[in-house]
Amino acid sequence: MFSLASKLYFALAGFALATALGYRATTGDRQGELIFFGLALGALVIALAVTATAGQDLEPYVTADAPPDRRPVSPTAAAGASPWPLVLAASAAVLAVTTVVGAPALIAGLIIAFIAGLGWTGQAWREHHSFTPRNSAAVGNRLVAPVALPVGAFLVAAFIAIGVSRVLLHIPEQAATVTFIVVGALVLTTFFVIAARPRLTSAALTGFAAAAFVVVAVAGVSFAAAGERKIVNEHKVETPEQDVVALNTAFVVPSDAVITFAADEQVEVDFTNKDTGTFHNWAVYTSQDTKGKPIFNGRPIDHGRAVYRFTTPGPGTYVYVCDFHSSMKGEFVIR
Amino acid sequence: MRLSPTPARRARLGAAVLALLLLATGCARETMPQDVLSHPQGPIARRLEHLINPVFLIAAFFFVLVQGLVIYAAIRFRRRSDDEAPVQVHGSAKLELTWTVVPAVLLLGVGIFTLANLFFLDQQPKGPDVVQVDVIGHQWWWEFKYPQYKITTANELHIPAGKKVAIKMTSTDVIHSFWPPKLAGKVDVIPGRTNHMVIEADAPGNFFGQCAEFCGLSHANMRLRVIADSQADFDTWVADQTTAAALPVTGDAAAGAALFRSKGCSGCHTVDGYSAGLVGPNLTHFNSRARFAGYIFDNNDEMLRKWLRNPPAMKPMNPNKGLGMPNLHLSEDEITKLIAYLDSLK
Repeated sequence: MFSLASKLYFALAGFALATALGYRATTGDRQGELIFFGLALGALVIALAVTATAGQDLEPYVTADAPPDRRPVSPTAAAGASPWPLVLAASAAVLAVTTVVGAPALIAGLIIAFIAGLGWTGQAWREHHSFTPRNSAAVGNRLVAPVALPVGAFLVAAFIAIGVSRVLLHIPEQAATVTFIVVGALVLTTFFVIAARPRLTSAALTGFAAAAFVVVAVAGVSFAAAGERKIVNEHKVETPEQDVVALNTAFVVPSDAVITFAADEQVEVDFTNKDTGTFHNWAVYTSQDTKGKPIFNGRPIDHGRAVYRFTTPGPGTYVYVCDFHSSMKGEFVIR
Repeated sequence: MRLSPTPARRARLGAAVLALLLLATGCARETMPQDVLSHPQGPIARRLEHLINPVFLIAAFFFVLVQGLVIYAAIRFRRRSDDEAPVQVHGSAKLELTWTVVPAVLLLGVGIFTLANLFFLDQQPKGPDVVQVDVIGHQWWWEFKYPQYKITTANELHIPAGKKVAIKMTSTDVIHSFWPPKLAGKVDVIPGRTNHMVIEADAPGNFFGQCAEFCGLSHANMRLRVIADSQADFDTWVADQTTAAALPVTGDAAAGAALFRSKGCSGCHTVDGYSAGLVGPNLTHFNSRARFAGYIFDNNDEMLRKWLRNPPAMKPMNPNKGLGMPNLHLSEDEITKLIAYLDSLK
């Protein structure tokens, strides 16, 4: 129950949380806040672990004539060596490098600390004198299985998908197709064989799973290191391009407001409207008066960016304008 | 004496009122232009009706039979006392076979007729007599192109009565559904792919239609009308549409034409030979159309004035996201001139 140690950790958690909030409010530094917050979380996990496992600090008061304590003592009461303090220490180390590495280390450290807290709690509970396999199974059924099974399945699927896809992304496209079919057939056959032979020992299964894990992990890591093949988009054709910006009801273009393209060619005008809230567009006519024939009218936008694609007319001098503001104009030359 | 009805009574009363209301809907003998279940106006719609009606009758028969049996069983075999237990039976091979085989045969029959109709609807008519139309769905209006005649128009689909019209449809934004109920069924209009539909009207007339796939804010205001003309009227219409309207040179209309190019209209709308905007409806022959803005407003000066004052107030749109016409903050004088110009686009 609440021992002196657990109270200390709870207090530390509360103090770290208050510091995190106060630090953020006074300095506005998000990184520092995260570190204090991580500390609070870690302290909370430890506090919970200690609370769940440690006995009371003081022996309960027992009257002189009370019957002797008959609590059963399990034969495996002796506590075994525990890896969890080491794991927790590792998480502390990872959290410590957060200042250098940043958010990824923080997340990794918190995850490791969480796992350590869970593992330590679990181990302590198994060694507790009230532990029986029966209530262990009950807890397992109610709490662990509904979470652990789907999460585990998800992780396995993600591991396979990420590992295999690294390989498929590296090798040539047709080889990838063949590999995928072969691997798929192999997996199906393997599981068929396993299903057809129910008497496989668990050692054999574990060994097989470990081998498969190693193969996928090694292949995934090495092909990921080798990088993806270059995926060529065959439809992408290099087109001449011109940036046009509308700002303060004026066109901003390089070189004296003249835009030049070659004749009868697919071109792109990359149009950005920086007058947020005011509609502009970019249009080309043979002349600006009402006798001018339209060549292209770009889609009006009142903020952001639009890419206009059109085919240039024959050689000549045209005018480009904004359909909303006659004062926004320039020369459009087709060579 | 009881002053307020018990919940059970209230429920019974409510059910009775609902049933009466439902019954009353049957009395609506007014013309229902979007009613699919009666009066098809063309061979394709008739073919669909000849599939729907028998299937509906079969379904109705079995609905009544099954529901009747359920109600009968619920009443006849209800539990009458607490310690009563029904006779325990294991099953009946005969009964189970019957209620498996009969529906299977029925479904097979319905399936064969449905498939036959699907193949029929999938046929693409060809030949010089067939009018080709490209339907393009936009949020929230319909664009109709006639590649044979190089006509582009909006919301009003003119077709010659008694002739097959082969429609190819696609969308520029989201999924719409083209639905002229008296002439054909619904076909989804999907960006990036081309779907087909054939329509044909028996006789000249006006046929309502509208978008039948929820497509956002003004989905309900995305209507259309199919106008079946006699061949002579259709030919006249084609001739009118292929003659460009002359650019007005005097008066309000000329001033309006200048405004059309300086107030932004030309950025979105095409008037052949004058502007090439690709966002909104083609206005080259705007004044030949009876309604505008997704076929919801009568095309007259009064409605145009209201529209030009503030389009999003007239029809829900989101111009800041590129959907629909923005408020261009035009003065009354500018609106008068623009209307004069629009009126000249015959």
